[in-house]
Amino acid sequence: MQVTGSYTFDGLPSDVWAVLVDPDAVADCVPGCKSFKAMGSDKYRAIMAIGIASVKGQYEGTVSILDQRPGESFRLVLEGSGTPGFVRGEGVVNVVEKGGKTQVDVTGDAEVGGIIGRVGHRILGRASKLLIDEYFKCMRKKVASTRVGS
Amino acid sequence: MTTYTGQWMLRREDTPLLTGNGSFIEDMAPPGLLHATALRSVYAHALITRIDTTAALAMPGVVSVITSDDLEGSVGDLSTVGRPGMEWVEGANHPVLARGKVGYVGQLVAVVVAESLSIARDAVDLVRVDYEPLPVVMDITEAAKDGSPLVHEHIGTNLGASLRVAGGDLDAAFARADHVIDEHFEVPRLSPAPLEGRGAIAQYDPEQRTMTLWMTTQGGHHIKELLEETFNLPIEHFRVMAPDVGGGFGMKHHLYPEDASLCYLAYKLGRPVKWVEERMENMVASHARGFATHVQAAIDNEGHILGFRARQLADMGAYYIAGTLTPINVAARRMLGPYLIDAADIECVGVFTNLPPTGPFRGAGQPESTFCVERTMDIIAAKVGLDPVEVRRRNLVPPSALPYTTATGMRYDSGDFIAPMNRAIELADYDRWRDAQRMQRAENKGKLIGIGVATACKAAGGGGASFTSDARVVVTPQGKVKVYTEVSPHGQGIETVFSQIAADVLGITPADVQVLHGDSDMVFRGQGTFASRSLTVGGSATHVGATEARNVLAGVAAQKLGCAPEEVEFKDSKVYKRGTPGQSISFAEVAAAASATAQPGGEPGIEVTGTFVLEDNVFSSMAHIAVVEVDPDTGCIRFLRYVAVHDCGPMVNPMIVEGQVHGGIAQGLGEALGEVMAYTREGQPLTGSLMDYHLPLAEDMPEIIFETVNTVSPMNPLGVRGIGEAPTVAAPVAVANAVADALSSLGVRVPNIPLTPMRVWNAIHHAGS
Repeated sequence: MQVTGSYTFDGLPSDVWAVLVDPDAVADCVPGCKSFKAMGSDKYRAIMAIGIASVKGQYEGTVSILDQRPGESFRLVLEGSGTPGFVRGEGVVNVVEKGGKTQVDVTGDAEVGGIIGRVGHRILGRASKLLIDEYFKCMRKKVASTRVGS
Repeated sequence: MTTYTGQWMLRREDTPLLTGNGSFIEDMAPPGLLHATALRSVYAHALITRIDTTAALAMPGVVSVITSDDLEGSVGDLSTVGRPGMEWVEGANHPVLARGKVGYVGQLVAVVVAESLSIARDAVDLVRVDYEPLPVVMDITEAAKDGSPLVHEHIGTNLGASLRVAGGDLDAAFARADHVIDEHFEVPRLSPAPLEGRGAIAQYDPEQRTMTLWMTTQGGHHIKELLEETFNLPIEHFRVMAPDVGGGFGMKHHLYPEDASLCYLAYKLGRPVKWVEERMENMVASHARGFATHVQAAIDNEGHILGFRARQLADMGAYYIAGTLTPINVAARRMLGPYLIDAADIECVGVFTNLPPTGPFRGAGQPESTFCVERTMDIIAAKVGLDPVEVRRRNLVPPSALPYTTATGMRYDSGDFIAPMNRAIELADYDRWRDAQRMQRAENKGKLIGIGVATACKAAGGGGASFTSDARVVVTPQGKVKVYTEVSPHGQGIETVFSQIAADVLGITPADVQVLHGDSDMVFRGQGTFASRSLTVGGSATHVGATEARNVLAGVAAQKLGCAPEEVEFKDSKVYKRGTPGQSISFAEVAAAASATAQPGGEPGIEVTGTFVLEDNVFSSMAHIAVVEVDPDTGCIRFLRYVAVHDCGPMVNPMIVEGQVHGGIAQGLGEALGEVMAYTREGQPLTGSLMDYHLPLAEDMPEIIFETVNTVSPMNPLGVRGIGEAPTVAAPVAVANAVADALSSLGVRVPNIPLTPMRVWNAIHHAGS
């Protein structure tokens, strides 16, 4: 499953980048995130409750933030499994300055297996897009509050 | 003398089924029943690094959780049925529970057993399985290439099975050909999707040391043979019973991992254990078709086929199950269809992929190959500038050439392959539709009219002693008749049809005949219901048994009537000396008298066993014509006319024949227009439910104009040729040919089936790009 999206932030790329890789911000913004704990550098153990249509369940897994190029990009690798099956994904997040604002481009590929994959593949693309939109909406608030605070 | 044979009779099966009084596995609950739930692989290809059942076992109400470790040493892998002349590699039989790795999404990994189904379902979520994903191979063409990821590392190739059949001088045929047709055809992977999914209850009797397995099967005797091999126990240890079964189409003629697991659990736990499949499990349990075929046909300028070469790849999925090799065997041997083709070389190669195992589905290899040959016939017609009907007429085996043996060794016993086509042309108003098509093309606007023809033949019965069929016939002292048959109906109306046969032989009414089935202990020999064999073989055995019973009764009646046994007639529930129906005795009276003289033991009354061996397959033939219009703006296809003419031999119950044809065409149109088991490239099913897998709906069905031709086969006492699978053979390619014909006016090649609106629209609008 291909995942793409572009999100515009008020603020400098370096500020946006810093929030995007901040574990506390990530923990706050990942939809259904119940726990997000560091396990060594750049790798986190996460528990996430998620539901698509009538299928609800909990995934446990890891999130790794790799190849960090401050102010520019990072690579996100996630792996999780639980009652609804599993999810494995990898994506690249690019942060670029555009007309005084910051544009964040996301491209990734995910495999979703198990019950959610089987009943929901038709709506999975749309559902993931919603979750990612929600995630970046939250991140936008974080960036805005950082700017107010600074 | 036939009173009931050949008559429309309502199915006696329908009243209980339609009023909710059927008895299916789901309805059954022996005392002490435990419930099983399956834990299945979510990966298409992965190593299993750890299975932790602790939490599940700790849950109150959970009785057992088994994994492959539990089966070690006592339960073997599922066996597969080999075919003469075919080669296949060892080491790919389906494990009952995944052993160290999984090969497809849906593979059984563990079974949880609990006091209730809800507990079992909750507990299965607590079993933790860790996987290490491996590279996945999904596509048969990719899988067949060197360097492809391997489904079975230890085998070293994905090419698991092959059959090559050849005859005649093919080199000479190609050397003298005016043209060579070179084409590639694909038939997608399908789900047989029976109305009722699978299910089973296993119960062990420690006193008798017997395992009884109630299950949704098409053939209990066949399942017993498979159980014997998997458990390495004498076949007498097993009894297989089928209650009402809701469709099978080939899918229920295997022993599955769940069935074997239940037997193990029932033995281990000393209590009956039940499992009933959910639809989503059924969608990934086993599939069919999935063929890619490269065809080369040598033809002359007059459209005659001089030689035919084909190389097929058949998708076997990750492991063999019982019937996996069957479609490969059928597809190769019966590729040539109803045509005079002197030289041929056909090779079918079975390929492993990280997908569910495959097996026969209504036609079992014949639809796969008929699709290629019938598309080729139309391509030949275009090449030499003839009407597709004329090309067929020039190549069909004429009645005068029958019996005819094909270059691949198939013997066509008798019949008339041309008659169904001639009648179909009349019923379809073929010439008028060609005129309408010419007008539409001349105007060059509106919807595109396409006419598709398919002529085909289909084997029935399964020949040889290994397919021997027994029918035990009991005439009670009260003059009622019981027929115990080995065939295992699951929607065919066999009770009705067999009662018609026995009633006519014995001169009584079908209401006097009870037909019993679904218990492997009822009769000694049988193989069940598949290969359009129920009537051809089981019906013939019933006829033989009823005839033997009549002979016994005739001997008793002859003494009472003062005539020779050969002079005794049975009619209207009366028995009399030929020519003197006025001085008759009742059938019941003869039955009572015969019962008094019968050997003691067994059921009261007289009892005989009719045995029938079909020496070789019998062949039916057919012609389908589809007239469609294709909307170039939407890619949608609408039927303007659909005609099917089948030579099925004499009909016992024409209503049931027509029902079989309607159902077969529905499945054929589903294959042509909507059905495909689609997967992501990682092996995750995209059509894992009936929300996404497009079975045909009532609104998708055209009105079907149906007639029969009834040439009598010398191969069985009823003269019948089988009808169950035949319509599914011709329908998909009749539709594909019609759509191809419609698109040809735009110079557009027909896409692969299923011909969904999107595929057709893309073909029209992105032609050449």
